[in-house]
Amino acid sequence: MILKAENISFDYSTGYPCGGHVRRKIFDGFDFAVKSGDRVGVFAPSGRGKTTLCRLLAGYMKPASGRITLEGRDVSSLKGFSPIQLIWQNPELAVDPYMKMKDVMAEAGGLTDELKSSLHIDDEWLDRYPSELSGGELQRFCIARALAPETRFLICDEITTMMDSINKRLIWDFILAEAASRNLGLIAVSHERALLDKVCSRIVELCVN
Amino acid sequence: MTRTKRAELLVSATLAAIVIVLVFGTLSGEEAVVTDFGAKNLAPSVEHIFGNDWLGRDMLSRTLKGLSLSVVTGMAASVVSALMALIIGVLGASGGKRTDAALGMLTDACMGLPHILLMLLISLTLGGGTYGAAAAVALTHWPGLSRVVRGEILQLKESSYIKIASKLGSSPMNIFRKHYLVHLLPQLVTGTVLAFPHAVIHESSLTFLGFGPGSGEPAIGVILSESMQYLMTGTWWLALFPGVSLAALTMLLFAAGNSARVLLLPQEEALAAGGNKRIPSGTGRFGPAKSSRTELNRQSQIDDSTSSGNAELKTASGAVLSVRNLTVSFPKEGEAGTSPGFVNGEASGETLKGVDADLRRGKITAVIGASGSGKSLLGEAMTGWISETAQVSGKICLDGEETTAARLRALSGKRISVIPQRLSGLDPLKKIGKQITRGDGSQKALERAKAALAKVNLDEKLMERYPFELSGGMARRLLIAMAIFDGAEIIIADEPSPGIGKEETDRILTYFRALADDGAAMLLITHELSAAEKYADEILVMRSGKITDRISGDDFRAGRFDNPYTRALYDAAPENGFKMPEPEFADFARGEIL
Repeated sequence: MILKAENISFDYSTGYPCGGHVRRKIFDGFDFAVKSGDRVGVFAPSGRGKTTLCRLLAGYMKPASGRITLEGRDVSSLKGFSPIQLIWQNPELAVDPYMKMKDVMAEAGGLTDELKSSLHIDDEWLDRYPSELSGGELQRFCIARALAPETRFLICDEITTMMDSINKRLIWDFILAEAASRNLGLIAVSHERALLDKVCSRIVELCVN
Repeated sequence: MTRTKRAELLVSATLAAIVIVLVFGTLSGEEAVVTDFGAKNLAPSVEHIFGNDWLGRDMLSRTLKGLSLSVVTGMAASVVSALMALIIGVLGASGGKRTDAALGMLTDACMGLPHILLMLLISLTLGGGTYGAAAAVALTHWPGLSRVVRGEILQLKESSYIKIASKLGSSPMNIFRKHYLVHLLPQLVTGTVLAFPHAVIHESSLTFLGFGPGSGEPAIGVILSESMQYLMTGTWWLALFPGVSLAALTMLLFAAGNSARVLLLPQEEALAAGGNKRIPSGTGRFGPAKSSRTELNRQSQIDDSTSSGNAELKTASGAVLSVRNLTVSFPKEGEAGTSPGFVNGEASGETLKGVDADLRRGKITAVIGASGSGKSLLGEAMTGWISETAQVSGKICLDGEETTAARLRALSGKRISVIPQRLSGLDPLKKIGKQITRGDGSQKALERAKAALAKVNLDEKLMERYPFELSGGMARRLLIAMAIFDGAEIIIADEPSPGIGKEETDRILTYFRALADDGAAMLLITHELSAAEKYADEILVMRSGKITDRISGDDFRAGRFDNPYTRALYDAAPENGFKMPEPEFADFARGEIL
């Protein structure tokens, strides 16, 4: 399988209170491709459009021009469970605060025992609301949720930025093993060059315009 | 009594009151209208608790009858209002721009007209009477709630979790049911219940003014307006008891409305049970001043008898702020069955177990360790801002003398400053200059603000600008300037450079170094080893609430440390080899803390 961005452009326009607005080009004629089994790192300083790229690739947003396709099909038009799953940077925002964790997982088709044990998720946590878990515990649920059997491409947007080195190492160990055994296409986005050097087979640098 | 139990009690009391009013109001149908000239103008007595009126009618029966009429009208009106609010709110939020604008104008028009006037107009148009008054009340109570519904939907639409749900294959119907409706329901129910007392009052007002049920019917408004004519003759009970009953019912309904919210939002209850939220929305972890914090002192005095032996006060030379044998824990009592009652850091079991630490003039003390190891808790204790549910023992010393959390808090923003992790501490609507000086417009304050900005290489022209005009890195430097504005000598920074890249982190930390070189005592809480490595004078390594290792910055930089946990932390960092930690250090893999 191949996930491809062809000649995409994207810009944000910022409105000012007293009228007028500034258009900020994030991408202009950008190309990108990931195959199953690839581990691609995306490196850029902050504010350079890393998160935007993640959302475009996962089909959360559409580029202003150009195409993003999975096996030739436009990613934003994919119906049902998306084979391209994005793990968001802030787990607290990625989970409905009014849902118990078991319902959060049910929405993603349930939590397999395998994932539960390899991510060390406590059964007791399933009956809690997100506010009753720490950020790290929530992030483990978010990782489990994105790793449903239908997932083919996994996009990780700064998922370990707020973790200490030991936990960072353990989480990546798990994700790399999972990606390898399931032949997932992996896109890791980070401002940490050293991390990307360790976990990716190829690095794309988003440079300042 | 806990919040939940109080809420349950209030709601049941209100329901009981409503049932009583309805049942008696219906039963006493006859008594309320039967006249008995042999017993007219009777003052309250055991037989006639509320007295009798000028026609010898029992006022208790009349009041209950009147209230039951108001309750029925009020209930119908608030339910109709809630439905209208839902429909108009949903249409406004999900329809096109024009629909939204049209509905917005309708809402504004309804809200802009004086409420009573609007009701009078509707009631008159519909021919007055009981029906006219009820319709007028029902048709005018939706605007506030419909705005809430619209706002909530617009906000939910943009939330990550709803977007994620659709990528997880949830159908729009399911998303509406499981997310939108769940978020809207408490608002709707609370809105309905809170509209209820309004409707009751408004129905009575309309009737009082003569635009509701005719004088034959014992509506509360009619009773009150008729009693006015007799007040002069000294029959005070005619107005007092019905009036007080109406007021009491209304207040009960209000209280029940607020309680309904507590019961409908169990996770908010969980937050409340865990004390205050550990991350206030204001300025990051340490947050704005709130009175709901425990005085460290109170607990420490209690514990003095047991701990004074091992908490001997020997502050290191040059130490400005020290803690000795500091122990903090959170009782996990919780609400039986409903919610575990602990939050955030507390949820992950963050504690401190006998921590000793010193902040020295001119030095940067870095605290590193896994999330949940107690780093932030140490920072909170050192500023005095610690959750009120915390049980604290040990000593805190300022200038070598024991002090209290309250005294530390009184110094915050002046001698002790916090540099928050989040940029949300910046007010988007205030000019930068005003934010630094905290509204002080004096020449002296302006000079100091300029000096603070100069220290972090920001142009003083920025004082006239707004925060949104700053880049992320500049905003972080501004936070530092704000922290040093009042000449802080003790600066505590909790993750001051979250995910902002190496160069920017470096830049921020050079300013830290410069502040320390100027004589400030600094605490740098971070999970980024590289930050601590480069700039710290002393490094404290925390694990599970204890300081497991203390290294001087020079030793750390020279690689002279042999504590196995510190070594594992260091080696696991991507820039130091990304080495897999030994299983004994993999706290996460043991299901402990991530």
